[in-house]
Amino acid sequence: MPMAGWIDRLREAITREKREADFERELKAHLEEEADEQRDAGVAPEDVRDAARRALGNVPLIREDTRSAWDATGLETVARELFKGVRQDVVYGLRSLRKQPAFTAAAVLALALGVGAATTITSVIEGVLLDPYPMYRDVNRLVNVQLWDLSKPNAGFRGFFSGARVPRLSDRGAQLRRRDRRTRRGHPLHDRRRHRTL
Amino acid sequence: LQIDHGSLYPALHRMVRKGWLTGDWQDTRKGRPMKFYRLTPAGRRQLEAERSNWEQVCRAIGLVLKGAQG
Repeated sequence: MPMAGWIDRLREAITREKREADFERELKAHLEEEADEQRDAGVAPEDVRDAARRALGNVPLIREDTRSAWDATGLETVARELFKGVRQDVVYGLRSLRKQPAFTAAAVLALALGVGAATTITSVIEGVLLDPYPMYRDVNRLVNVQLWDLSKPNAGFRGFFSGARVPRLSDRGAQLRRRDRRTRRGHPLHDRRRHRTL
Repeated sequence: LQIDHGSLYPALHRMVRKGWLTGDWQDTRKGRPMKFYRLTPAGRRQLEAERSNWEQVCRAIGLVLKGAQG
């Protein structure tokens, strides 16, 4: 990569030099042609050169404007300069890191601790505060089984067992209900007596 | 309105860079080598586009002026 960069730069310098020489020749030819025309128009021979130069205009300015026409367009130049600047900054940063190993170690340690602490805190908050079923596998298959005696509509769960008969799930009054798995009310840890995981 | 002859060169070189012109050295009738610029096909297309654009602008301005008169 540095080798290729070198060759490119060399090639660019050569083509630029050629172009520069070509343009100078072009300007010179123009001045001579202009001088001829002035002479033909009857300008005194000693004034011909100056007159031609005046007709051509501000030569250094023309040279500069023409050179800028050879270069990449404004946006390209800006982008390249920006990229060059970023690369220089990165290289400079890496070099100074290598020069000061103690500082580098401290910085890496601080970053590592910071990232570790942030990760830990996030996991703890997720596990303790956010996820109602931490570390349960297939939480979406969790169901809540309830038994209702439909012959005693207001008796509820407790009233069910006051009867003599203990029903089976296949009985008419047995209902299998899926409960919202992310509500506190159905939390198996908080409500062990009433909920079973299947 | 006075334009220096030399201000032609930045424009010429810009158009060469865009591929609209090619320049090569030829001798004038007096035998002096000069650089002659020629339109490329792309340059011809660009010229046509610019010309139609210019005509449109001229027509628009003409319409405005006519309206102002009447």
